[in-house]
Amino acid sequence: MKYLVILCDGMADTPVPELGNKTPMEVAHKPVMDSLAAKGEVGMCRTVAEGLKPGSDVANLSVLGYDPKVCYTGRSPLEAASIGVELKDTDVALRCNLVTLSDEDNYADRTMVDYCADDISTEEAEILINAVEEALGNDVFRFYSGVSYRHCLTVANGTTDLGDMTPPHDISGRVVGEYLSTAPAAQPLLALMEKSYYILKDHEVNKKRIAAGRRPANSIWLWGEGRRPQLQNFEKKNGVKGGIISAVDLLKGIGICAEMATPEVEGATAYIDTNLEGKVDAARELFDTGCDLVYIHIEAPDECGHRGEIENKVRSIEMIDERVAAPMVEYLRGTGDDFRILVMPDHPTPIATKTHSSAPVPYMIYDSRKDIAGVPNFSEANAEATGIFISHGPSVMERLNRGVNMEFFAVNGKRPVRLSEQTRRFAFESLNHKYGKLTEQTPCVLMDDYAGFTALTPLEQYDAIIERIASTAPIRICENEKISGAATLGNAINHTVPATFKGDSIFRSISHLTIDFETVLKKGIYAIREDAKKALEKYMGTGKEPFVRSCINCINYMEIWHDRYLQELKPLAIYRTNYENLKKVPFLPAQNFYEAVQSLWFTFAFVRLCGNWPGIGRIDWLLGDYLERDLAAGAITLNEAREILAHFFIKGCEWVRGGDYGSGDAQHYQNIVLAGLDENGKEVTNTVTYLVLDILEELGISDFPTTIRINKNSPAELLQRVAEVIRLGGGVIAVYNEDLIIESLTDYGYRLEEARRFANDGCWEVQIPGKTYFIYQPFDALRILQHNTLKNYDGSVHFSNFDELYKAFIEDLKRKVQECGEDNLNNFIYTGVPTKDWKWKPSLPCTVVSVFEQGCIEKGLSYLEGGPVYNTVSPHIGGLPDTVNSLYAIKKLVFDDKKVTFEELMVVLRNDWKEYEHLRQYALTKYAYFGNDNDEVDSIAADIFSAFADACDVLNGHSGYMCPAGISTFGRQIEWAENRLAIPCGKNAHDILSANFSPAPGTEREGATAIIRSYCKTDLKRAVSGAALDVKLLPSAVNGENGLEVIKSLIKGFISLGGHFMQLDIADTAMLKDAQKKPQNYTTLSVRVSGWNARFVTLNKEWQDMIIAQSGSDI
Amino acid sequence: MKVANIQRFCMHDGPGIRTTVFLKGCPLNCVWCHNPETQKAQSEVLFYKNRCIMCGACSVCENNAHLFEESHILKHQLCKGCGKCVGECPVAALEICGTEKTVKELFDIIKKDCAFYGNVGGVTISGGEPLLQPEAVEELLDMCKKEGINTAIETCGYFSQDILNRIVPLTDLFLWDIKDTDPYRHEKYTSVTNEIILKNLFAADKLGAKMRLRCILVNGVNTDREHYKNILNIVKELKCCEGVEYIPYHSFGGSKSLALGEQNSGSNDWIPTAEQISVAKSYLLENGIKVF
Repeated sequence: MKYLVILCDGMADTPVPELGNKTPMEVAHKPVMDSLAAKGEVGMCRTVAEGLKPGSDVANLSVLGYDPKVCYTGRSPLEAASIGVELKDTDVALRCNLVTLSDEDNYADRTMVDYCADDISTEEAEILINAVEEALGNDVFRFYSGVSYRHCLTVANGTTDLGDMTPPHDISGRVVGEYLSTAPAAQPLLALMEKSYYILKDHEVNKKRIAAGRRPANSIWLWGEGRRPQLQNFEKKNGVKGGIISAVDLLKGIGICAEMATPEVEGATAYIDTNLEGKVDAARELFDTGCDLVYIHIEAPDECGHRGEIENKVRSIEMIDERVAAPMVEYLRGTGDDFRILVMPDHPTPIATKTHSSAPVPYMIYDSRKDIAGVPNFSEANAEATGIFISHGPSVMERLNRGVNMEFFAVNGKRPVRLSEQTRRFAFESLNHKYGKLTEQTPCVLMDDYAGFTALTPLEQYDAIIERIASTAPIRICENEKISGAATLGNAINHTVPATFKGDSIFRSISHLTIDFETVLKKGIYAIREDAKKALEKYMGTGKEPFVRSCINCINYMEIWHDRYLQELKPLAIYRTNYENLKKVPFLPAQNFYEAVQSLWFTFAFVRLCGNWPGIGRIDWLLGDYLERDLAAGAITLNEAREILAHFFIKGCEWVRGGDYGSGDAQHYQNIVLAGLDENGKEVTNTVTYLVLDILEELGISDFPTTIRINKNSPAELLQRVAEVIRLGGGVIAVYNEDLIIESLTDYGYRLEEARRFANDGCWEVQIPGKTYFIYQPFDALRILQHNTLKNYDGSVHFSNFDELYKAFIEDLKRKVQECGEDNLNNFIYTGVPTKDWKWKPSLPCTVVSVFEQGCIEKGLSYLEGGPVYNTVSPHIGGLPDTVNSLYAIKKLVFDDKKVTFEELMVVLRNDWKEYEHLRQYALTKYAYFGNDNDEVDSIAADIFSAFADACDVLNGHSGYMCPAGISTFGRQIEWAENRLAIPCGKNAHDILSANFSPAPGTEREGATAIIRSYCKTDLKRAVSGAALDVKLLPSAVNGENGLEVIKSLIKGFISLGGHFMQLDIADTAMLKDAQKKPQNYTTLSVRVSGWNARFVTLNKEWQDMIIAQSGSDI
Repeated sequence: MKVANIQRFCMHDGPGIRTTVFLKGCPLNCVWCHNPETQKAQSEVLFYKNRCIMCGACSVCENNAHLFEESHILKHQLCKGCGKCVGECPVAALEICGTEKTVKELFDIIKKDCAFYGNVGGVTISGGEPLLQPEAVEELLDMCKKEGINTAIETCGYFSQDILNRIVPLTDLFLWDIKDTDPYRHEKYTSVTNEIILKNLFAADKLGAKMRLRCILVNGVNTDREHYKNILNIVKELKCCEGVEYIPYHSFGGSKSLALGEQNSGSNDWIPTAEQISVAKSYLLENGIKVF
């Protein structure tokens, strides 16, 4: 793909009476541009943001994709760069025009006759500037000659606080007096201007000019002050190599600062006589030598605008069409490559005003691969009429780079459109990694310069870090965002508090919990601080005092961060509502839906900013009442509410890339749980539930991973909507069987009301949100069977029947669970006697999450030290299906069918089936393994799990933790593969086997219903932490009217048979393989395996292969 | 009952999730048959040569049907369909089609997925031609109905009419194959005329049998407008027909023919184009007929 930008400086205009009230663009005969516009995207773009001056620098930076609000440091530093001046950070550069002034005695009385000294030639100018340098240059002031009338002055240790240094082209024909800056710091500069008049007016060069009838360059004019700009490398920013062709220093300077190619073009001037053919040649040359994007800047229309030359302006546009657009299109077609062309001005330079305006400009993007309906004539009015408006100029470059169609990936079918264009754009950019990239750029705060940091206690260090994060983390306000706040430090993705000391990160952060948003929304964070103050009184002078003080501190720091957002938002009119909302929340209770969404988001963002990964929990339960009230009162419409909520989802899915994870980007475990019963047994499903489904359906956002609580009486409409969303693929919704889970929790000892509140930890492990400490202890059961029970097949053990083998394995399994329990004791000061009042050992500071976790402030204990109401450590058995299959295969091959003796089988397995391919095939194809609804094998799974759950129960009371059982692998089947030996069911050593409690890839032959039945035969009520099942369906299975029925039927069957958690996904192996080959076509394709999700294209090959292997299951 | 295959989690043989029972034996002999292994009433062994690893485990055959020369050859004419070799083959290169099952055995398998049938899904008895075994089918349908399982029959329509009285009340939906509406072509390609099939169809309709017509589309054979028009006329004349499902011909049956030691009578030329399928569908849609 090649990208061409034809930037027609100042081309846009307003209707000109002399042209019959048409604009130059409308009048100009420009067949090439018009034919592209007829087949391309045409719209308007605001290149000059509110509050900025409409200079070519600002506008061109915008078009090149650099946000001037962030990068722009003034015009002259860019020009300085173009003439090879290397600015120091302490230097200030100014533009130094050669101008023609009238000859009144007093400088202030003179008139600006010509801001460009009659287009003085570069050669003449060089002589004059050298003369000025000689007379006025010194250690502080240095003059550099540039092109034509445009030159440069640098001021060592200068200031930019110079008041209004007026551009000379803005005051053509006016007396200069009232445009001279009155700022004290500007006075030495004005003196230079005045002195230059006496150096220049009688200079030989000017004498000759006057004799030749040309205006003299009789003064310098200083303006456009600025420091060295920081532009990110263009290629790194956009992923394409870029080059700029321009006669204007400014543009070359931008090119140099952005490390783009900036070839010289002979005879390129800024006027109508410029060497356009030279520019075209240079552009071809750039493409031919490997540039992907060439930016041809043509100044002529702007100059004509400044001069008020109507005909010349029309002519300049025609020339660009004929002599640039035509040959470039021909060239690009000739290359055989796909290409996109962007044609636009940087800003209007209307004939009527002869100066730049900051009005939006027309743009046109043509894509050689796809004709779309454009407009017949590329003009201001036609562009405006399309209704397409890019309000943030710098995104036009992304639009060119990425194409004009915002498509949210669906594995199957098409996603509906309900959200506004603006919100969809926001989502598209976010899902395409725009904000993730930004976040990656600022990894953390540095504590190196913090006086006495190492002498602080860990808790004091933690507080210092949080204060610094709150005070210095970048503030990010995304274009048109409806809610504000952003976790802008990249190291958070590495599960650390994003702060380093001498290059090392300092504290790990917290995940696997859902924090107490309910209190934040309903009471506000000030109320939490009041509780902390009360606790401080209570614990003053005790060992708990530092922790409680830290809680108060962290809330105060959050206020600092909050205040920074208020300051930033206050002057920006379009963020008025964000500002007004944030003035109240999250510190005060939310009064309406909009405030509630902002409160929830801001709190979440702060906790995440500080490195933690909390889940959201039951968002419909949290927000539903606010919305219902607002809707009833007519305070909000459904569409408005959907937009606001969409921004919550979009802001959370910025796909931050972490270290070198094979498992892709963006893993914040920020789970959302929808629907189900509330604490009183009433169904929660409300308008918010359906809005969330709308948003997931339209945008395909899978991070937040969402799980829906379904029970036997769930509303039919809810099931229907869930099926519709699931059918689109991407794994955005999983299913909980809440009938089973609530019973499971009450059986385990939770009160019914508490059980009904359940949400999860971030994957799918069930917990009571806002009051639970949770971690899990994963282990590989297959490893226990192979390594402990069968001694790595070394032949040293013998079992003469299946029962013996089974019992030996169960003993080994129980030992493993005991080990888990012993590990737990490490966290306690243990006297050797079990007790009810466990003493926690001090642990890592984690105040930011402790503040939002019920129990911590009250008990004066942190999240990691027993503060929460419930403290759980859950042993998780992994590789269970593979263990079951192994045992079953031994049972059949050795003891039932006597195909081989036990000793022989050990040899075969030790040698990884080498020379026993027939036996391996036999084992693989003859028996129906876990997932095929074979009672004989499924009962082994049920028995092992029940023995495991018994062993977990024994641990309760042996430490301060409850130890509920769970079944999982998440993605560990990949890392475990390395240590796994051959498996008796015909799999080789190191094969990637089952995920969670799902059948091993390739062993399931009976389809989804058999898989679910196999899984449900285990008593999953005892999997209090959870047991996940992954079921993949092919698109063909769920297409058409009957497809939704199929999905609903599977869910209903899963519920009635007693499943726990099911991730039902639509996958197409062929599509995934294509995505592996052509990642660029699948940038927003997300995949989810229970408890884990990512953008497919960011996975390494191993992970991608695993996903593909698991997608082939059902036909 | 002679069963060719039982497939769970079917979503293309009637509404919802279904278990489809393919019975063995068919009175028709369609040249394009998608399931040639179900045509003969007796058990047969299919041999998939590409999976064979030449291990010789199948030499257990008492009739010496397996020959090993340069390659492994199954002499189908010697094979009695006992299936002994199938049990020995380690790589599933040999498959048996046609096992004897009692009605109760079948019912137990069907029952397994009750949790997934809901109100719309259930069992579909297909074939072959299920109504070649009418007594057993009737018994099975009866058991399913009593269990509240939705029942469907896929039939070619060629059977003796007197069984309809007993079958219709037990069947929630008929998937009724109309291979062709032209009697001559019908005979040419299926070996029987369509007279009995249509007679049975209208007789079933009179008895109130809810049905969908299933019409195979074979490029160059029955992709003409006249045929679509005839289908339309049939549907219009039926009282209880809920619509039509077109089945585009595919050539996957060919590999099974070869595995049965028969010639592949199919042809890739018969695969209808997307446009043909769309024309056929829209003709009915435009005339107000539901197309599945």
